[in-house]
Amino acid sequence: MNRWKAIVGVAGAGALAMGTGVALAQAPAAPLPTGDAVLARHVEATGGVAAYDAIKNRVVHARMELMGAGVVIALTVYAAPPAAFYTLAESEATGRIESGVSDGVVWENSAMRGPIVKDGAERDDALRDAVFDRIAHWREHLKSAEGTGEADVNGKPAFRVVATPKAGSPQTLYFDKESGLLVRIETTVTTAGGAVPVVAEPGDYRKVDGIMMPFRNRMQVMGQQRVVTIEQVEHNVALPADRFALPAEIKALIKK
Amino acid sequence: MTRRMHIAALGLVILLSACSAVPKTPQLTPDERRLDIESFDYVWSTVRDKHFDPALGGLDWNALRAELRPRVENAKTRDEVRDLLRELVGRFEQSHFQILPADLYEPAAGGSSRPGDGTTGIDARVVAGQALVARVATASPADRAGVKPGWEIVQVDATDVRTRVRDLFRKHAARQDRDTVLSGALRAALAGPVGQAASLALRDGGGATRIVSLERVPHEGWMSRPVGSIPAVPVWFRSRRMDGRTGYVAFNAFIDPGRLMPRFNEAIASFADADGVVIDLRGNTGGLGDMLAGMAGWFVATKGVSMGTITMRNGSLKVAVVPRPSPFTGPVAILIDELSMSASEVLAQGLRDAGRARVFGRRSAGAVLASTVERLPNGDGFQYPTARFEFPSGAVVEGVGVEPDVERGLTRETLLAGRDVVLEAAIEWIRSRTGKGTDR
Repeated sequence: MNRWKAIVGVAGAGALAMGTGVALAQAPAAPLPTGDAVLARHVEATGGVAAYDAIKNRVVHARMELMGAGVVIALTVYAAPPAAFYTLAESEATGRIESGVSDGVVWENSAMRGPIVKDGAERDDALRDAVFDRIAHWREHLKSAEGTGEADVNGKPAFRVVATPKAGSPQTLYFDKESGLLVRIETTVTTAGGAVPVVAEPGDYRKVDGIMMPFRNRMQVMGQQRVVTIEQVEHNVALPADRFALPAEIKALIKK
Repeated sequence: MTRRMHIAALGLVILLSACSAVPKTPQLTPDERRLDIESFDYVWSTVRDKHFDPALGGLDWNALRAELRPRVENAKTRDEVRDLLRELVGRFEQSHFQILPADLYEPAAGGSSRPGDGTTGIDARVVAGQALVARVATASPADRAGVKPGWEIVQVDATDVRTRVRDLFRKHAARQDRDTVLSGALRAALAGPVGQAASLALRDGGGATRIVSLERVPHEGWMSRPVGSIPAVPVWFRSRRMDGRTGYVAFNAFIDPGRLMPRFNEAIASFADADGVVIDLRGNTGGLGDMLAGMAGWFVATKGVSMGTITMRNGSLKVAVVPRPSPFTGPVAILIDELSMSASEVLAQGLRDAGRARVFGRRSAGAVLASTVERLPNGDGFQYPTARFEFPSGAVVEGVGVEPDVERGLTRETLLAGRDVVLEAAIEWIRSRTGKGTDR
């Protein structure tokens, strides 16, 4: 932690020096931390490995608002390690949409589109996103985490890390230099209609069961702003045994 | 006004059937004037920042602001402001621009009802310069009063429909969208609040004049709930088997997927053994495009088929069809007319491009853009296009319409004879495809 404070201190001094016009910029810059170091610091800053390891599953109740259009989608998300996922999304605009990841099967089921088993890049991106607390467990599912420099995120300096997963598209992650919190994600989500670039900015971090979680996530999706607001988080819930089981329609589709 | 400007005034408003029945708004208070000016600025900057074409079609957007904002500042009524906003976005000559009056968002209270909530049971079209009853809903006030398809609507309340339609029909003879505009206006004129009577003068099949007073009742089906900034609208869905052999579905809008899609899914699944399926989209004004891929998935068996591509400022996406587990593989006929708009046109053209449908009827409205609806500071709704739509075949539909494969139109004579010549043509084609002949 002290090392990070030192880096922040150097940056602050540099900013002041620029204001004076003195040529302190020629002073040797502090070396950039490696991607692994940035991720490790994030884990530490958000609660530490032990706190993450104590979490066996998570249930999140949230709402996603499509800004401007005024559409609100109610979300209930169940997640468990290593990559089990079930989401129920409901709104007047979409009806009821279930989706999930279970034993490597990525699926969706809704009256709107029917049962779907996803494959190819769509499956890979979904598998990437289903990894439970994936930054906390980055060593298991990332091929590489490369520190690529610094950037300004909403007026604050951040370290940039390109995270390349074993499956799915790479993501560029930005971590606040001071707090170590994840403050921006640039990613691609592959859909049936094509690759969708998404910029997400997690914020409003709050401590839940020993780990800091972003209760608000502002996203830009092809020019549209979406805001996900978490309303409730529960950990280590007694879930039904079949919570992540494939629905009958999906099983039938796989058998065909 | 150009044809596209007229279309811009249709869409949802036609679905809501509200425009003609909304009373003139009173003089603006200072607060209302401030909100109207803010609304003008909102519309102007939203279009500048979010319209799919960053060049804004070559319009001098700053000059338009300079021209129209002072007029908004001096407007006397909210209606005047709405007209100025329509004039602003109308310069695009594109569909999917609309200003939706705030009262469309008000829930019915105290037994009152919005102007578009009630129907006499008559669905009407302008045919060859005549306002004709095209369909009478079973057990509706019109049905109980003995109104029949083919009767001419001569007068609605104080409006001399016959003269006005005849004059406008002649005046706009060169306009391709003439029938869309006139039929839309006729539909709006017949709508009104639930419980409010409409006094109609009709010319029956024998040429005699019939005077009926029809109390407007709720539409068949159900009222959707508001979807974000899209107000609640009446939604109906019909399905049946014709002669036990051909499946038939019809619905008026692509709205409320939570209730509409299960009905659609159940109907199409039940037609698995049918000779063919007819999807009747006549009068369907469109709605949520998200429903398209799921509906098309019932008729496309192979993966990788796209209904088209929507292109925004920030990229493009295909409307990818995901085949249902047991899609219907027989012949599919889609019926359209001049009031088939937007998602209706995409379904018709998209399934035709995919080689899965033959289109019957009349040229559609030509309103094919992706759009969103937002609320303005003054409470009105603002619909604007966010993406253009391109079909796999390269067919241009926006501003042009879907050209049917088999052109068939209503006539007074066939309506009076109780015939639906468009549906007949579709069934005949399905019979020809299955080799089972026609028995109709």
